[in-house]
Amino acid sequence: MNDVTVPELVASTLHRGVQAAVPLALAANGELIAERAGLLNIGIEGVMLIGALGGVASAWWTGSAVAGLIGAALAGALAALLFALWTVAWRRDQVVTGLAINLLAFGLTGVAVQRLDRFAESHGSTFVAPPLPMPAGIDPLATLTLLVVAVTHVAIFCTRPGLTLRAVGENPEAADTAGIRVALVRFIAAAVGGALVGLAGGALSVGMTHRFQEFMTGGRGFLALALVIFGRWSPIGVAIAACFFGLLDALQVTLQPTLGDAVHLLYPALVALPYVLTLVALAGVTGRARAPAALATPYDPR
Amino acid sequence: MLEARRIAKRFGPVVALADVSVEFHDREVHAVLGENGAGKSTLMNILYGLIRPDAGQVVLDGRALRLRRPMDAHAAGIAMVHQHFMLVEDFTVAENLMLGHLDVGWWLPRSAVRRRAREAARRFALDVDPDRRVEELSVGQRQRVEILKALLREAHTFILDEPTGVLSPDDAQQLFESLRRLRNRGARILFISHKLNEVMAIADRVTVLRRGRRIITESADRATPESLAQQMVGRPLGEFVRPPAPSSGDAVLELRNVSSARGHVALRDVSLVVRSGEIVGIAGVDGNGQTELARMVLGLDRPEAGDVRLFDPDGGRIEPAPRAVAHIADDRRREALVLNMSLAENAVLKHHTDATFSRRGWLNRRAIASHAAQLVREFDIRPASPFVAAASLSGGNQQRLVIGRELAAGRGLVLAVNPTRGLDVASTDFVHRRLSERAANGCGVLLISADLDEILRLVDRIYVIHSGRLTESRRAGDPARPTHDTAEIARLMAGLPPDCGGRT
Repeated sequence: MNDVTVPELVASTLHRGVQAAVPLALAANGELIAERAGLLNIGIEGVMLIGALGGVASAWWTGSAVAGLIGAALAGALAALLFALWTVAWRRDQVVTGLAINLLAFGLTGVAVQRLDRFAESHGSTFVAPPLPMPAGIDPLATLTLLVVAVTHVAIFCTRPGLTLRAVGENPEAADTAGIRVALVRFIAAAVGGALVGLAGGALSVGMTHRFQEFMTGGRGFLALALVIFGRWSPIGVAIAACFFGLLDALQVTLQPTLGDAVHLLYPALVALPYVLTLVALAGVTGRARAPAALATPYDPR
Repeated sequence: MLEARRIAKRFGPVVALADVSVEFHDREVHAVLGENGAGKSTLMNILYGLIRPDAGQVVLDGRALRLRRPMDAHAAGIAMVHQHFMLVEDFTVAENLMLGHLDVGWWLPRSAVRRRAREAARRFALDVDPDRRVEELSVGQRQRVEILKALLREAHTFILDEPTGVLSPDDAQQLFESLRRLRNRGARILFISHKLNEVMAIADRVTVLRRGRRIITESADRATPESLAQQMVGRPLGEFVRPPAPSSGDAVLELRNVSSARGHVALRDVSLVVRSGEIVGIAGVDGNGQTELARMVLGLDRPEAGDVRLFDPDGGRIEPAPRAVAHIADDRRREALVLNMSLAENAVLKHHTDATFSRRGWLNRRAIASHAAQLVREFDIRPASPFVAAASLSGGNQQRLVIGRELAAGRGLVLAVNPTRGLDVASTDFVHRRLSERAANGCGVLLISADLDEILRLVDRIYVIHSGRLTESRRAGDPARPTHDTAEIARLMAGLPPDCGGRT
């Protein structure tokens, strides 16, 4: 702590906070879109992981980080469509399907990354993504996230497709009798939401570490699930919640060196801090927040 | 003119409609009458594109319609006001009105919809604020939103599925006014009901269906409630009126100065007695403490002051508990039955721990099945299979199952809360006869009902509940045949003091 000034410390903490908030905000917004249509995808952690792997794979293959992010979004959308196929088309239980997707993703990405590592090696290369371009020092992912949040917010509350989406999540029967194709809306919501969750995974792998590690999402998907409740199903609310937890995460990193010997004791507590606060906040907040009325309920028009 | 031509529809082995033809004219209110299961809902759902007929055609102004989805019906100007409203509660009225108009652009036309809603509201007496959220609206207002929805879709044919079942008398009058105005502007209104008085009040013509066949279509001027009832049921049906049987038997239930602030309505100093052999009625507008009172009698809530006493046939005190009372619950689908379980399982639901039905935690399937079979026979429950899910029974049959189960347990007190709500004429009659029989066999019956006619026909004594307070309304007049003063009861129900000047 000797040669670092306080303003520098604040700046680096803020920077790290934004970096941590980006994947959270993207993932939570993706989940929010699905939940607004009545789909509770607890497989979000797995979808994010699939996005992270898909991102590195396409970035490595094409040699372009931007293509990597697009690949991450596509991989996420495909994984979420799998969820929609089970829960919307075949009306299977959403919680069970989500769990299955998580387990599938944990296993598959682990096996796949080993194969891909070896495959890249045999071609005299390493399985990594090139860094993202930073035009004029602007963080492209943070900018994209801001844009996504703003567009999602306006779309959900001010446009006809947004109204349709919300109606499907609140009362699919009423939507159906109003001539809305509930299953189609849910499929689209799952795909668009899944793309954002996949992009969140890509932001972690392509955007930050440039490579894929097993379980690299480290519970961020589950945290995003909580953030949706925390932000009360509003994109701006969710983004604010994501920033809060991103900053908390960064603060935890900043505080570590100042603790000296106590670090061995406090490190686990610090790492757990965002999650503990989530629990505490949820206990107080959920009572007042209202979920979409048809959340996690399959719609069977008979 | 909208015509149903030779429509037929079966569901598996059940014939829902057999060769039914009806003509619905412009500028008329056409009532479709029938018992539960007569096929009136099926016919309406066919006209609305929810169900496809096996045979027959729907013809609008000489042109055959292809109705495969409700959208096709909307395109033909046919709209439906469902019994269970199809509204998004979390949305404002305006948002609900905008839903599904897919012909306009990306942005929500908020101001245009508001303007059109206000205009339609004024013209057709459908006043409701477009900016209120639906969950804040009363049932009557929600129904107006449904009609507005149809109007904004430029519907010409309005199908209303038992629209007054949930309305207060005032709201029903306002609905009728709106329907008349709609008709006078040329709309065609199809009105499903089994309330004969309403049909007589609003309909221009009436069609009666029975067991999937059209019995008659006639001008409402020529029909009488009696003739229509007879055509619906297929036999003359005198309305069941129970002769009063004043009881001096032992009390089976006694409430002494019970007060409690739990629940939505506080009970205030409630005292009442039900003796064996009598039916005691509690009249009142819904939401005046009926639920709270029922919970008290069932032992689900304890009084904060006062005393709830329940007695067994020997006069010994028993603890108020759900299992100690034969309880015909207000909402049979939520409070009385587990819809996904079978008829047989539901038939023993409250008593499955009795030695007859289970031992050491193991269910005695054979005893349960035979008990269910007995109830099916005795209470004429259809379909007569103990293994069908309770959800697949019609409302009337669900209620028969509940009544069968509750009465079979042989408790001294029967608590019936709105026992005939939503039931057709024959099922209502069945319920009334069973309750009356129970009283004749020495039970005490406490009947809580929002239907004053039902109370007047069945009970020996009447209490009126208003804002959590009970007032007894005594019979008066000719000492040989004393009658209840309905005007006084109506005053008490409205919360006005009984007419003190009239009697000295």
